[in-house]
Amino acid sequence: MTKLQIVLILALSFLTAQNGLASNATKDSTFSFNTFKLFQLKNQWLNSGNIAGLTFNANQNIAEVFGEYKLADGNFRRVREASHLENYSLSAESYLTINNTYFYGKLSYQYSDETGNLYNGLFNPYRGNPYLIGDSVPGANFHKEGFNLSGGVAKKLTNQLSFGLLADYHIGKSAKQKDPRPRTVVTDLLLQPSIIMHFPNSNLGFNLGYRNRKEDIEYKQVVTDDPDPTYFMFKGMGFYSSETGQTKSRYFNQNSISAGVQFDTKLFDFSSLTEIRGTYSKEQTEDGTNTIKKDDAGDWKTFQVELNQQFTKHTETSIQKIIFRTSFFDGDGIEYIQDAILNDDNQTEYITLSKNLKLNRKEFDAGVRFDYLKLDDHEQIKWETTLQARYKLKTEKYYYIPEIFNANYSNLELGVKFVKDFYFRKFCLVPGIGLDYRYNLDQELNLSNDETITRRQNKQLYIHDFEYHTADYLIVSPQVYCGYKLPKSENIDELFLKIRYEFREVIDSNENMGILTAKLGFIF
Amino acid sequence: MRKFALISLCLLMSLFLINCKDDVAPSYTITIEVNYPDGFTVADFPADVLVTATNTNNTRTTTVTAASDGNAIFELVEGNYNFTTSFAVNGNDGEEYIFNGIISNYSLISESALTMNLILANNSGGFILKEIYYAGSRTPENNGYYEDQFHEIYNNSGDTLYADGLCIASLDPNSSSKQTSWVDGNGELLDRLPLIYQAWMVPGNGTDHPILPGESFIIAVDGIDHQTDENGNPNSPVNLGNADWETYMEPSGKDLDASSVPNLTLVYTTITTIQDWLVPVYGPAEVLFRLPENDWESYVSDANNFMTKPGSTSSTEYLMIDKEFVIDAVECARLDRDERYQRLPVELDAGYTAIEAGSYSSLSVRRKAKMIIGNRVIYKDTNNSTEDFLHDLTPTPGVNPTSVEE
Repeated sequence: MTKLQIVLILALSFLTAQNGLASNATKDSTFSFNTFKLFQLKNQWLNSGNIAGLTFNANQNIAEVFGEYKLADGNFRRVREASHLENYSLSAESYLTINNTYFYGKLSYQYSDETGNLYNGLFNPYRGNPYLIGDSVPGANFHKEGFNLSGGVAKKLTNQLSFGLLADYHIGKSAKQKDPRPRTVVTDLLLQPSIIMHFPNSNLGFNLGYRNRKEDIEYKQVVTDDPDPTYFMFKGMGFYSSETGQTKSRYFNQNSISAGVQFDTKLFDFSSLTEIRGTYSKEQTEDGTNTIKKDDAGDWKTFQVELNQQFTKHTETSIQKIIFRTSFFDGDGIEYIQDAILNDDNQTEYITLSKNLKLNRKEFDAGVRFDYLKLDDHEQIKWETTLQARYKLKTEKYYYIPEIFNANYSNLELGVKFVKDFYFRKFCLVPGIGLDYRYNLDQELNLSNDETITRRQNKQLYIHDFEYHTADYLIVSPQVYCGYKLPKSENIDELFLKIRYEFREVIDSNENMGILTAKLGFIF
Repeated sequence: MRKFALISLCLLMSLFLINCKDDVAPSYTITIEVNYPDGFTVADFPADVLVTATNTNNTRTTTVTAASDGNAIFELVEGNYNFTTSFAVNGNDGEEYIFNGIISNYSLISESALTMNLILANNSGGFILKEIYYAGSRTPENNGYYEDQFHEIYNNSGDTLYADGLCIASLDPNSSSKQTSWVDGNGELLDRLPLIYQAWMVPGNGTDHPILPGESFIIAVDGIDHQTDENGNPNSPVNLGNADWETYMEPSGKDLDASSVPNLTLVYTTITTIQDWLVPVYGPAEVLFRLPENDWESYVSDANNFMTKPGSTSSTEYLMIDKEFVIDAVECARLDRDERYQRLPVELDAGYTAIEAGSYSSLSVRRKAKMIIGNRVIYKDTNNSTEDFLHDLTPTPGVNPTSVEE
């Protein structure tokens, strides 16, 4: 998809949303600043995987459109991440109610330029799959483009039952600007039907999900004609195989299924929503186009179970929200042993002799977050604060047999944020500051020093990333939000500008990362 | 809708069950029985024969000393393996007998017992490929340059030999990472070897080009000083202006003919358009051979000495030579690929050498100096290039080492 097409789609969506809101909905007379944020906070089902929860939305049509610029620069990063990133994005998100049918839509387009990434040919190398591909050419720019389209619909079929369906589609493209350059195309589709059964004092929801993600990587030489560029096929914990050649191609295909159950009720003065969700995923990797080879990578099978608990209390003067989140992740890397044979046509064909578990990764994550918003007459936020804590435990094992190598660590993260809202008639100014601290509780890294083992392992790369994950750091993030309320006669309710700067400094190190984001948008 | 709820619940529960675990790679016992060729018995078996298993999936090697009954017992993790051995036995006649053994690409997926048939190396002396510079170099513009390739052929015997009629060529496929289709119904290499690109011969009537013991001659792809010639490459490591022979590709009409260096006779080519002798920079399988009665014209005029590639629709005719014609052979492997297939029969080369630094690295492979008697070097020639060759050397055409090398 070209940039022009994407811009056209966004423009069309923008106009459609604008017209839709203008013609079908009555302006909320109680409009104030922070409407979009409060709208989302009030319906805790919006933080669940059940799209039928849209039926709990306030009978209000609201939309937000914004453009965002992000600049990141620094040396506290993982090997495959950029040391310098510039990202531009356009997004539109809206909630609509038409004839008791609830709609949700989100469109976004991102474009980014990255430099400093090494050993990477993927769109997003840190999404979890350990089977990665990259080349050794440093100093290249990466261009990335992504387009996201989400659409949800929900309807209360009877007083006892609501139904919803969410569809999410993502397409992304990336290309390194130096030969050999990987041309990477990602498509990702999610379908998630849901229901909610309504009882007098509670609601019970169920949802299913199916996701298919494909990533196609084609290494090409456009400018140079290097006969022997080297490609590295990583397998986890830095182990790799390599090959040289004019071209190289790889294909990922991931299928996931998920199911979730939600239950909401009243507990004392709080609305409670409990959700348990399980996701099973299998991602297969193939090298080559005509002759398919699998033993330079493996299958990545994962299982994740999440338990989320939300408590929300909304009064005239405040909103209190407590969220407990915990998840357990178990991923297995299954590697192939293949033999090349000549088939009847005397063409090479790879036959699989066996498949074995080589890599196991487990992650346990638990966190709690408390948001307190002080309100003035239901809708006007006077100030807000957030306190959060998170514990993360990760273990990784590579079965080299007879040796087993492992990497373990656990981190504790603490965060606090305070934001104060100042109002000057039609203008509001909201300065805020956040502080986050990560402390490494425990770490263990056990790798081999045997040259016969490590000659096919990039230990330096793996150790660098391990140190990134176990570093103690402090984040200071000042931010300011400026809003301007437009006259009721206008279709646009509020113009806003949000600027946030995040500075991440590693304790006892010179490593740091600064991230600036500037967001300019409208609320309808 | 109740069904939907039930399905959701069932799916959620079944997700726990779906996530069944795969097994970690198991290990198996494999016994390699080292089997002498006819005429030798296990009683002759030395006590320190080492058998090496190389896991081709991760290049890890495991070495086991064979027991007195000739059995080497390994405990290895499931995978694809090459098993090799090479050792020398001093016979009652005072001669040294060299044995090589190889089992290639064995897939270990259960307990196994294999027989490794030893081959008695035919190291009766004679012409050998002493040094091969096939990797090429890089130009200042970082382009690949292979015109500075050369072969040095050495008289390793104690007799004067004649280079007249000596032929040299590379085998198909042009890389050890490609599986050869030149096999019989059992997957064994054919007894006839397919020559790829060009085959060359030293001209002469049989006694025109004597090579004394301990002397050598150099065959250059282009017989120029590659470092200074305007058609050369200042980054090249060699001056081949004083080479003994040049491979001039006259049919292409594009090759440079260095007037000071005589030309070899082009016996046959599978490709006439290429401007130079194409020695694969990834690693050739080289053969030094003689055609029957040194009569190349009769040989190439016989259609029975040609074959098209099995399984290929290409009409390209490959010149085939009997492996009995071969005087010396060297397998140069491509190390940057996991797949490694032997193109030469085990009796010609039971191992391989390689340039670890890769193509266009300006480095060569050369035989080890086994003995130095006076000024004469005797090079190691056990028909196992893994044992016989040093690799990743700066090319030294015409120069002999001054000390014995291990």
